[in-house]
Amino acid sequence: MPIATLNFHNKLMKKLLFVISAPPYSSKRGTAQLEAAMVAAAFDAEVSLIFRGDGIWSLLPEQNAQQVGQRSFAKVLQALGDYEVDQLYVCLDSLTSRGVEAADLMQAEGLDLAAQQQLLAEQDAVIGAAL
Amino acid sequence: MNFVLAVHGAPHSSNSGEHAIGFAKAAMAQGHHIERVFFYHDGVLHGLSSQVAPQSENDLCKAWSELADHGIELAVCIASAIKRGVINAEEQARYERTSHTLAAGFELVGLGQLIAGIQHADRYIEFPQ
Repeated sequence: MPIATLNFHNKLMKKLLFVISAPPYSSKRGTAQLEAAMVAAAFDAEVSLIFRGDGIWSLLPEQNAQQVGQRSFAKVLQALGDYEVDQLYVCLDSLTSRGVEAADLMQAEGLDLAAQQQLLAEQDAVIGAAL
Repeated sequence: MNFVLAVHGAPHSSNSGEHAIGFAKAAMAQGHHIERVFFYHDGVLHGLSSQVAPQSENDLCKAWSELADHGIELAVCIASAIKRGVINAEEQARYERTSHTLAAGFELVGLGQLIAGIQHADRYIEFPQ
């Protein structure tokens, strides 16, 4: 059965939140989420990302991906700016439990659990919440 | 209500497929519409035609095929699929492989069709790995 190509412009564009909870380099989930977020942005969705759990390690600066023969997560993350994805959030509880300071991370805004609840409530869809 | 589902887990190592199938049947029984199931990450392995389900286990291929007969689109992420060896005749020719491996009823589509599906649906439900 051929898949119908759905028309993107017949409804209001939606708010999509991508959740990254897997650590970089030991899993490919995070980069796959970034790629999906770029596609969503290219298709005019209003995209935001939140890093939670071990996903917060993705935001450490000075990653040396070459040593493990992989693409740098940080570089892919920076490329998100080209797609006008600038709503990046990080879970403050996940930072505290891992002894990481928000100031040590790249570009994300820290949110407590109440603020995350609010963020989730504003979305039309959440992608990767249980990854 | 119009649903789009996403399956992220591989058959036989995850229950993602079973859960999605159960959800789809229950939703349809209540009069809802399932527009599309999008297979992503390891979930694309549901579309592998050469797999053989053990006799003692659910035949997921048969279950998907029945859902396709109800008009549900079985959309497989092409980027996730080809790197796992799930290819249709067109990709077989392009990459010069000896056979194609995409099961009947499934179709390879771009990731954009996941986003479009989400845009179009009333609800998006994800079945993780």
